[in-house]
Formats: sequence, C-alpha cells, structure tokens
Amino acid sequence: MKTSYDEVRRMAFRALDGARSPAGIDEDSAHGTAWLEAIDLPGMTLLADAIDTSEPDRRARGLSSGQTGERAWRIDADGLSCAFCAATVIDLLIATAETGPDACSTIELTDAKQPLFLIPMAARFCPDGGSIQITWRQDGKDQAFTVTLSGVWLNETSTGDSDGPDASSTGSVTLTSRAVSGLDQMLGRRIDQGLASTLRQGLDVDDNAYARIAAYAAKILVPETATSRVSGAGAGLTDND
Amino acid sequence: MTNDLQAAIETSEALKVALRPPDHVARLDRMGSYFQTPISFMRTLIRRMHRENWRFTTDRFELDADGFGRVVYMIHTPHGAFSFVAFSHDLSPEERTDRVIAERWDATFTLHDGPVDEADLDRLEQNVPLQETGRCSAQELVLSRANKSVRLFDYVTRTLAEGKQPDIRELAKIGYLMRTTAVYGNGKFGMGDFANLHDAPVLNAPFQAELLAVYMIRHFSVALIEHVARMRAPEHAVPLAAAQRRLLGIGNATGLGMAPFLIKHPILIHKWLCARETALARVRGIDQAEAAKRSRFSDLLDRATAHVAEWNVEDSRQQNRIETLRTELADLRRDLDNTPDDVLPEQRPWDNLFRRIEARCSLEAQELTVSLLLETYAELICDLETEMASNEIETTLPAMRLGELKAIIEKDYRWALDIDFSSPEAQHYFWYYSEDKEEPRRGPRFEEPGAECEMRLGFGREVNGLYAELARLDGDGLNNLTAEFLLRRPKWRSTVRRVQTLTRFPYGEIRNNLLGRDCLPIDLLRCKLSFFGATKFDPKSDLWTRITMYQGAPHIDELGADDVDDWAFPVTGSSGAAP
Repeated sequence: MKTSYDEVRRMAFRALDGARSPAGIDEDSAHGTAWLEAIDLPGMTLLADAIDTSEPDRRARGLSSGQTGERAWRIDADGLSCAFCAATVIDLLIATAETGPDACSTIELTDAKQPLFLIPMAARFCPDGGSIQITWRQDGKDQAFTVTLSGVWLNETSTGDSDGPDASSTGSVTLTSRAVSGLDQMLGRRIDQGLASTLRQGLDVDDNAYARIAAYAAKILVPETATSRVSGAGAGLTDND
Repeated sequence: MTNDLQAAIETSEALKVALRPPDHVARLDRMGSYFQTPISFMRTLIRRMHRENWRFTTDRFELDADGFGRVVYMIHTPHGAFSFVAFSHDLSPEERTDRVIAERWDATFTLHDGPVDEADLDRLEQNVPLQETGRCSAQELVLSRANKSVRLFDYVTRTLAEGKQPDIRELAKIGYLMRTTAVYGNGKFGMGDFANLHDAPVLNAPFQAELLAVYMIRHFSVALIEHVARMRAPEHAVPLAAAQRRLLGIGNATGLGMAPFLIKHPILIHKWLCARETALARVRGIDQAEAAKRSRFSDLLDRATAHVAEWNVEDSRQQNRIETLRTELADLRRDLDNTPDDVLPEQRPWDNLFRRIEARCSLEAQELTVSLLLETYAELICDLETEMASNEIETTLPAMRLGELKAIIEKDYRWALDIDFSSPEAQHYFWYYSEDKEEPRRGPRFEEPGAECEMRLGFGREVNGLYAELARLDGDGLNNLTAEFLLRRPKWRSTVRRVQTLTRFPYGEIRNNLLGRDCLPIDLLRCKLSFFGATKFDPKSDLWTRITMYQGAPHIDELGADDVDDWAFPVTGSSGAAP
C-alpha cells in the first residue's frame, strides 16, 4: 500500500508505545522504521519481528556496558533487538567521541538483533563533520555502512553476491565514530539517494507488515465507555441547529 | 537558552523593554486568555494572498438544484497552483453530528497540489467522502469536512431566494453557514508529508495548508447557498451583500485533539510564544507615539469593545470573564478620555499603558491589550511571522554530565519539582486515544480503565521522577555522561532530551501539570486557536469549544484592497454597539 512517511512513523510509534518500549526510544525507532521503509528496506517487518520475538520487560531494560579503552566500549545486548536500543548505543558512541580530541570512539555491540536499526539512528544523530561506520558479519558476509550528514553508503565490495543489507542479522556489531576528514574514502554505493523523491511521492509498504504494526499500535487505544464518550468535541449538543 | 534570547529576557538592551519571562508567559491561565494578533496564521495567509496577488478560478461547478455534487476551485500562486475539491452530499438529520466519530457529512473537501484531472477527480470522489476510512495520495495536502448550520442555512437560502438580504442580527447569532469537524494534514491517510512543504514558499508557515482549505470552505459555503437560492427562485434570488458575506466565517468544534499538540511540539510552541513576546516588547519599547498611532489605538479599542459586547457564551466561567473584561475596557476608555497623559504619557506610552493594565486588570484584559498593541503597530511586527515555523528536532546531548542536567532541572523546572506527585490530586487525570476513531480524550485515573495506555503529556511528573533519581547519585555518578545513564536507564530518554532541548527554547514548556485535577484543557485549545486566528471562543465544557474562523476576513474578490489585513475584532453591529 502507499503511505506517507509520517503515517509509517506514527503507526510505528504507537506500536512501540503499545509494546512498552521506553519513552524516547519509541520516538527514535519510529523514525528509524519510516526511514528504512523510505529507502526501500523492510523497516515495518523488522519492527514487527522485533516486537514478536521479545519479552516486554526485556524491551524496557537497560544495557550493561564496560569500558575497554579510553574511548572504547563493549555493550552486551543480550539478544535485544536494536529497535529497542539503537538510539542509546549511537548516543554513547557520539558522546565518547565528543570527549576526545580527535572525535574518535568505538563500540563493540554483542548479541544484538536487527542491527539495521542502527543505520537510521546514525543518520539522524551523526554530528556535523563526523562520520559513523557500522559493520557486522552474517552468514560469512560483511555489511559495512558509512554514515555522514551527506548520506549513507553501503560497502558493496564486502556484500558478496547479496543484493543489499541483511536485515535480521544477530551477532556482533562494530561501531566507529570519527571525523569525516579521517575517512580514507566513501566506499560502496549510496543507499539513501532516493529518499527525497520517495518522501514526495509516498512510500510503498508491505500490506502484511503494515497490518502487523497496526495491530500492535491498536494496543494503546482505550475502549469506549459511556463516560468517556461525553468528553469529546461536539458532545452534548444538537447538531442540527 | 541562546545568548540572544537570554539577553532579551533578562535585560532590555536589544529591545529596550525585556521580554516577559517564560515562567510568566507559559502558563495555562494566561495562554487561555489569548486573542488573535497580526501574526496569527490566518492573518499571515491573507496578507500573503494579497501580497502575491493570488488568483482563484472555478474549474467545475457541478451542483444539482439542491446543491449536491462537486466543485473544483483552482488557486493560482506565483509558486504553483492548488486545487480545492469539494463534494456536497445529501445528509439526513439523524446522520448529522459534529463529533469526530461521525461517518457522513454535509460536505467533504481536499486541497490538492496542482491541477486535478478526470482520473484524480474520480479517485477523490471515491475516497474523500469517506474521510478517515478513505485513502489519499501524496498530492493531497488537506482532508476536511463540514456540516451546515441548518437553521441559518435554511434561513439565508429562503431570504436570498425571496430577493432579500438576511438580517445581520440573525447571521451574528451563529456567524457561519458551515462548521468543520476535522481538518487533517501532514501525511494522514496517505496525504503528502508537510516536511516536503518546507521547500514550498507558499505553505511553509505553520498550518497554512489547513487554513487555506478552511478559507476555501468559507468561500464554498457562500457559493453553495447562493446557488441553492438561485435554483429555488431564478427570477428573484440575489447574492449575499458584501456586509453580510463578510461577517460569515467558518465554525469549528475543537476538542482535546489539539491539546496534546502543544505538549508534543515544544520547539514550535516556543517559536510562537517567543514571536508574540518579541512583538509585544518591540511595541512597548517605542519611545514616543505620533498622533496617528494614538488615534489608531483608540479606534481599535472601540472596535474591540464592540466585539466583546457581542461575545456572549453559555459557559458561566467564560461569561464571567467576558463581563469583567467589558468593565475593564470601559474603565480604560474612560481613563483614556479623562486623563490621557496618565494612560499614554509622552515617553514610552505603550509600555506605560501595558504596565497599568498588568497592575489593574484580568488576564483577559492583559492579553487583549497585547493584541491591541500589536494591531496598532502591525507593520512593525509582521516580519516575525517568518520566525514561527520550525523543522528542528529535539536532540539529546549525550556528552552532558549528569550534574549539569540536574542543575538545569533545578533552574528550569522548579514548578514541577514543587508538585507532590504522590498526591492523587496531582495525577487525577490521564489522557488517551479512544478506540472510537482514535479520538483523544481525558479520564479520571482512579475511576476509568485505560491508564496503562496513557499518552505522555505529564512532563512535570516525568521531570520530577528523573530529578529524584539524579538526586540519589553521588559525585562520581553525577560526573557520568548522559549517554551512559540513558544506556542503563532508557526510560528517561524522552524526558532527558526534552529538558536538554528546551534550555534553548524556554517558552516551549507549559508550566502546568496536565495530569492535575485543576488543569483546564480549554486553555490549551484557546491558546492554539488564537495563534490560528480564531475568534468568538465559545467553550461548551472544560474540554471543547466552538469557535469562528475568518469572520470579518476579506473574501477572494476583496483580497486586492489596501485594508486587507484590517479585520481584527470583527463586529456585526447586532448588539447595537458601534464598530
């Protein structure tokens, strides 16, 4: 079906809210979902999978981290989907980089599901003049993304015969932040090139994925009562006046 | 807070007179006393139409003798054309309801980017009448519907068909032929995302697409009634006279759907309030006023007095406020006549006037005075209309130390820290979306089910809880990065981001507990509607209000007039008060 970006974002936000995702994570991941859909990646399917396969308590719990160097961290996601933690992981990467002289930092994120949600968060929060590189390995293939304010690139040389990023990878993810000037070159193909024209023309989303997200979104709706009905606009007047 | 803004609030260097501080301004009782100003969005749109010489043409007018069918208007702007498409339906009285939960309406509308062809029109005819259950395309920008004010519609049709003009007193009792029950935009139901409009100079100010649609609904409502009268009596029917036509606006029933918007868009709300306060400070800072400006103020005061004299509502709280306001306006007129040098002295006359009103009068009078001063010097403040849009997003500052975050809360959220949220009174209400068409509603937390699904509007409570957690940290803990904290405690992400962001946008946080028993949502509604440019606020409860939009505004064939912007405080003359 054809939708707008904001329609997907709003539906994803409500689904995340209904799934008891932490406040703020739901806002960010809702944007992430719509962003992925806008560049023709299955954001809604991934989000529905993430909700389907996680326990509500786990979604809201924080992550444990340990510092492995002056500006290096290891975070154990403990099987959590990046739909529920991508924003906080990217925050730590950026904050750590900001505290050093060369804007460098590294995070090793282990046992994380759906790492694709890290990409829109990196695109959303990447600092001016900075870059974020995110890599993971799945089924013997590397996925390597480079994110700057100018765009998002996928390293095609390392994707082998794959048509694109593997959406449901589980495993270890390496995130590196550095100044754009520190990048050797922008390897790979640009994957967000069509974003602007998609926003103008609307997003094509999978009907089934949309229905799955809509079902989760409906969980925030409160059933009607006689008392609540009288609190809406227009209540209590004749409308044929 | 930016250095410039901080300076403007704390000192009078930049503006001669300081901005009123956020703690004074961003409070519900004051915001619920606002009136239209020259930088209200309807005013901005009308000025743009005038300035850019917009043209309006009727491409299709396919209505039957009873006024049912379809109409397409084209709106030609220097930056491109829009189509406004209207479908007029036969609606039985039992189907007519202003509730958002209605399923059929007297008329349904869309604003479409560019011309519509036959295929577009067929698609729109299948979907627009369905409203929320239909689908739009990215070319549609607004979806809306309206119902007739049946009593007035019948009366005006009858009189026009008889070759007579309707009595102004009858028109004034209602003020509109149609009232909208929803105006949707920004990507809903498949429509175009407004983020794309930021490149389009025509509609890049707040709510311009929606208000353009409402303006066209007003035009359609007049065209419709003149058509029906003409069909009924081709020999005798006359069109509405200019005076009658002018005072017909568009009605609206506005409920809680608008209230969450103000809480969820704090950067935008900051921009609106900051522009209004900057405008006020500019006028108060004028050293001396020439005679023409004093005379203009005096005329506007008379017009506002007449407007308020015609403003009567059933709600006893609002009616009491209106009656107090009438007395205060009469007092000001008397003082202005008897002791003009006291009211408007030679030096800083407007600042003196404003201080006088602040010291003596109600919030309604204070905020009406803001509007009067801004009207008097519209040319001095209208540039601020360009400062009222925002596409900035709230951003976390992950490298901020927690000690700094704690200090910000102590400085900016004292009002929230002072509330005892363990008291049931402080959490009396919860806000939620109903299963019934997702209508936003508010219910008593301890009496109605559904509190676990509540919307996040209680930021006072959230900040209070965050602060309690930060207060338990020791020195090492407070030296941690925000990012480290949020990784462990993601539940605070939204609250932290809001606190950090609003240090730069201090008018964006309303200093009231929206969950508290004493919260009146009607204040939120009036604030937002005043920024739209609405008038004649008519609260029907604490939760919803009727209003009139574009009453007194020029119609499309009057947009070339020099006084196109002079329609504040519309007066019908129905009360006997002189305009």
